[in-house]
Amino acid sequence: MHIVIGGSAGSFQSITQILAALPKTFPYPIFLCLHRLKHVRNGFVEALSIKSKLPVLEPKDKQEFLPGNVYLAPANYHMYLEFGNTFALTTEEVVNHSRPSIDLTFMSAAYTLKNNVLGILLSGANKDGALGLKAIKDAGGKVIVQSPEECQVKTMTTAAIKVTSVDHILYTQQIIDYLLRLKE
Amino acid sequence: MDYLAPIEMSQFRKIIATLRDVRDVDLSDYAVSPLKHRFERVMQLHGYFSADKLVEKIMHDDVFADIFLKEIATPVTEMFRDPQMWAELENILSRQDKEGNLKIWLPEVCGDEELYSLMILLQRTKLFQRSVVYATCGNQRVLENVQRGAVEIRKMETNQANFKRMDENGDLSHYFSRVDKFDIFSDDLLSAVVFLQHDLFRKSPPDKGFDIILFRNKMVNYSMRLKSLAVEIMNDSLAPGGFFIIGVGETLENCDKRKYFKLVSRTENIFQKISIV
Repeated sequence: MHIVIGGSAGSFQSITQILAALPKTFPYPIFLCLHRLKHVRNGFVEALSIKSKLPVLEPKDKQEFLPGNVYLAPANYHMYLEFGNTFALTTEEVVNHSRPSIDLTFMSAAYTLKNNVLGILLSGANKDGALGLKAIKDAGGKVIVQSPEECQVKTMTTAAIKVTSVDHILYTQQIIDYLLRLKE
Repeated sequence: MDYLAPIEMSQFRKIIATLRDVRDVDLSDYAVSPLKHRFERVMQLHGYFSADKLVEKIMHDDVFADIFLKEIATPVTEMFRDPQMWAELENILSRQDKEGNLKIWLPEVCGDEELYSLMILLQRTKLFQRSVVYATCGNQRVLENVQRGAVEIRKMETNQANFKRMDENGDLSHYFSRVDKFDIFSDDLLSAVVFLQHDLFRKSPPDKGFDIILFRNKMVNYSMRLKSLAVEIMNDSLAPGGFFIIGVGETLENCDKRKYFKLVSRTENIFQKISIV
């Protein structure tokens, strides 16, 4: 199973809660595509690592991904999941005003990993990720959105709910419980 | 972004085969996910929602095929992208020997951003007069576009912001003049560039003994095998001590020629060719 998580404004707290709750034996790779400032290369991984029991890394292009790691899309690159369990980073034009774009990460996960994907979309101020989540669902994967009631900004999750039939709408703690059950 | 129905793998391969067999452009050793997205994006822009229709157009419409190849080339999208890299490159240029010509190569140019940024640096460091800059690309239409020197005005805000991060007193308007919806790059600076249509993997490099090769975020389009080959070509083309600059998101690990390079800037991915005895 591969877990891809997208988020933007208001998602940082949920992400750090999730990473703090997962044990270091969590067996699946996690891919984070979070909207971020393009000139700030340092600090984000460090901030996410503070409470995470899993290693948080920014991948290089063509690097292999492995279970038990958390991979954060680097600033100012789109992050694709490529065949052969590797990353492809590109500098193409922004998608949904964003680079990295959640849609591109999610769509590539759906295409290369098919139904072996769990997509999770968190709080955010634009619609990036909605169609990507749909792609995961259409490929046979599972999709969760953070409950709009809990989101600091509900635009992203609401957009996703409109375009695809999500499997679960959950609060952060429920997402954590879901992931922990996945491990079992 | 509107919903892009993904093309099936069989359709993807069909497009690749058509480009190779009919247009003599071989993309079969390129990274799949990004290239597939480029195909889908262009299909959507042109209203071709079937890969079969796209294949037909590529086969029978020369003009469209040319446009298609130009549009799937991946742009860098900003001048002075990674301002710190450009600041370090300016330092490198400033330390160059004052005698002799400086030879610089930008392979696989598919947009203007890196080239124009470099030419500005060469002028700032007073190396412009004695620099020979090769900008090469397999697609003639792409090259002509870069030669025109026209940058859409909407892009200049980002370009200017990046430039100011490199130099807070910098002002890109010194190097451009406005015409309609474009800012036109200095013709004087562009006139010093040698533009060559060149297939990186089929032809010998345009010269040898390069002092600098600027090749940022191009190998992201390749498979690992093709990347390794590209690094070998670059290494062979560099003068001893020549600088090889790749994207900050890239790495030379797992390339056969990695041991022939010394890392001189870890954060900006600037390498220098060393001789292995």
